[in-house]
Amino acid sequence: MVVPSSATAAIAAFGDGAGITVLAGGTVVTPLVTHGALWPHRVLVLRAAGLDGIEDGATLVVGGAATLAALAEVAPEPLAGAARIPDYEIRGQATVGGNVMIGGDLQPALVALGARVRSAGAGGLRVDPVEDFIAAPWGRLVLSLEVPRPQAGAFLQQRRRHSHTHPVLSVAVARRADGVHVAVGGLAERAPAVACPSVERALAAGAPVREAAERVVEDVQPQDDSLASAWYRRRALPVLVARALERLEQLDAAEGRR
Amino acid sequence: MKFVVNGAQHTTVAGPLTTLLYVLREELGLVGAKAGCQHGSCGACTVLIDGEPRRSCLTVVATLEGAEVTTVEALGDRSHLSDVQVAFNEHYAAQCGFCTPGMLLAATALIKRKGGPVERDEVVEALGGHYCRCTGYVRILDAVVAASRGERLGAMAPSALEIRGVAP
Ligand SMILES: Cc1cc2nc3c(=O)[nH]c(=O)nc-3n(C[C@H](O)[C@H](O)[C@H](O)COP(=O)(O)OP(=O)(O)OC[C@H]3O[C@@H](n4cnc5c(N)ncnc54)[C@H](O)[C@@H]3O)c2cc1C
Repeated sequence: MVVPSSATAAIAAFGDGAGITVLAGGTVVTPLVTHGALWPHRVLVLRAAGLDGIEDGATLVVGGAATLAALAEVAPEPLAGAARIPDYEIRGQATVGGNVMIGGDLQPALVALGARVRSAGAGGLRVDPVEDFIAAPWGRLVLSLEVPRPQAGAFLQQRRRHSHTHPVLSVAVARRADGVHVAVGGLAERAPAVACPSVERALAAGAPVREAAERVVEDVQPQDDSLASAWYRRRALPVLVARALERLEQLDAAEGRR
Repeated sequence: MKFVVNGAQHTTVAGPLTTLLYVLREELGLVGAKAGCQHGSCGACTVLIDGEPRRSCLTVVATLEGAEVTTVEALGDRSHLSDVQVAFNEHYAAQCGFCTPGMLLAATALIKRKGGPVERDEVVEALGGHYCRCTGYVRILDAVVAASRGERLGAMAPSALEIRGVAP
């Protein structure tokens, strides 16, 4: 077990990531260890590595080991909504880096916002667009996220009543300088979030919200899992996207943008 | 690894990936924190770590150096119950009692955080990660709101031991 006390030491201890288990908040790792599903060879504990800082500004820089609770305090929508997972204690322990690695709720918000991920691993430091990063996150240590502030944003989720399952669907929308961006998550358990270029193009071409939202089915490949069927997800997604976009329109109207 | 449990220094002999829940129950004999789902979902293992409610089943020894842990055993005892404990008793907010230690600690932390009366929806939000399969939650919400306002009914429910004449 290594408990580095600086980012530099954490990066050195992580190396190329081979044979090492990162323990950040531990909300996912700990039960696996307790129940014998994971027998870590070497453990890198991030607690004291100083990776939990948050720098506010036109671009929000969030340390990989910052908690979801800390993020929710400062983040713009849709990221704040995504960070406010419905459990006070878990929010205070779960980290941003762990969430990005396991396909958590932050992913669609980060995609809609055009965030970048700074990471270390084989080949050294890298900064990737979040979409590229989450497509193949293995073997990387998440150091920080760079999140440009949007003009407005909204986050909507369809959940089972039981607050502790993964969401059935998540939708994040953000108005950025170059237009409205839409991303969805929850297409299958732990499937990475995806951007919705067909919806974005329709909006840019002036299509009404409900019509543009229908296009979302062209951008996603929902799966059957224990939470919902692919059929249900395809039916529900346009409704959820439309509602998120309507919320964005309301915000725009309230703030006199259009 | 050294940390403080209910005011007393503790040096654990457990391995770094052992959960705090295990240390409390098996090493220290503090069985107030319950081993429920052991996945972080049920809330029954909740303790305070540096004053904040946390799942002891999700917290490993390796992250506890220097921490201050408070369990339900430190909230009060039979003759000096804390305000939240009194309110739970007065409002019949416990039935089987399995969730009660976690509920009490999370509620105590909430009231401390707010520093005054809390609204019902704030309690729902703060206790959202705690399952109770007996009470239907209504009495728990009543109790926490009452405790936050310093309200007392003045009529304590008799304990099971009192009913059986075992305790005074
Ligand atoms: C009761 C409960 C409810 C939950 N609800 C939700 C929810 O609503 N939405 C949601 O998205 N998630 C939820 N989760 C899942 C989880 O808590 C979060 O996704 C959390 O953000 C994971 O972060 P962590 O720091 O706890 O991860 P850890 O358990 O520490 O790590 C998770 C994985 O990520 C790796 N990792 C961690 N940090 C880094 C890093 N910096 N760089 C590289 N790899 C890293 C670990 O090696 C491991 O593979 C819930 C969990 C529980 C127990």
